[in-house]
Amino acid sequence: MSETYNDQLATAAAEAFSMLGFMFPMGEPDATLKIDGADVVSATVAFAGPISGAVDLRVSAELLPMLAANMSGSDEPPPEDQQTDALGEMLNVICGNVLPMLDDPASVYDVGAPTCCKDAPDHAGQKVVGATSLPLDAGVVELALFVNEAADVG
Amino acid sequence: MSLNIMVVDDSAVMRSMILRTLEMSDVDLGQVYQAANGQEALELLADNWVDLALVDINMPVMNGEELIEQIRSRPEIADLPVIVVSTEGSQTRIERLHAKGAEFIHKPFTPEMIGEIVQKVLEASHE
Repeated sequence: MSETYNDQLATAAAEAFSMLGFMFPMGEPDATLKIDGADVVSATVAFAGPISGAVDLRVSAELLPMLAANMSGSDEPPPEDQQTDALGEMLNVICGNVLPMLDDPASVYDVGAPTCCKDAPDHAGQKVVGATSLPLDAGVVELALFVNEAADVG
Repeated sequence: MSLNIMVVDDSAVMRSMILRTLEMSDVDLGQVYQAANGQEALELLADNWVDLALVDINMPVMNGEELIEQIRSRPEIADLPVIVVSTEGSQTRIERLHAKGAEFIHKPFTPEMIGEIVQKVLEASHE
């Protein structure tokens, strides 16, 4: 795995969570940090272009309603569909900020719709080239960058 | 003078976020319209006066780039100021959007960033 991609994931996530989610880093990124508790929600978004792959974001189920409330400016936890919407949108922003750093900033990528699930997404045929965990005031978030096996990166 | 604003994004959470950020940036909001894709946006524009549109790119049914092309092709709304609010990072695509007369703001954004670009777009449209 590349330290550069780890750092890029962490930087993109820190910016997105603080500027959109009002959740702020409480320490340095550290891939050994894990989400507390068993109830974890995963989101994945695929991208296609000169390099194709996916970005995954994992958060605790506890963090999700807070994130959605912060993003939508609501005092109460929004309904579940808005919670997954918030997570998907956060992942979209992170992915969009990582892609220009994969190769040429002029490259054009198509980004799919993010999907959320309880189980870890399937990345058959892909390899992980970046992974990190970011400790936020609201909890740890985990990120991973995957590219197709044949891609000449990582 | 208050502005009639249209926010076009397939994420309801992001639409709320953009509106809230506009309020925080002291933009004087009049009527606010929301659409989840380009097709809905065109339907709203057919019946309502809008001073400024903030548009995402990646949306189902009709994406933001197609929406802008449709807007520019209709004489009654061809001059509508448009700001693209997107995670798009490709310089190639951003230049294509500028060529269609749209300004661009990258997600994530602060109230200050969105306030500045709204002012810039509105000043340019009054010239």
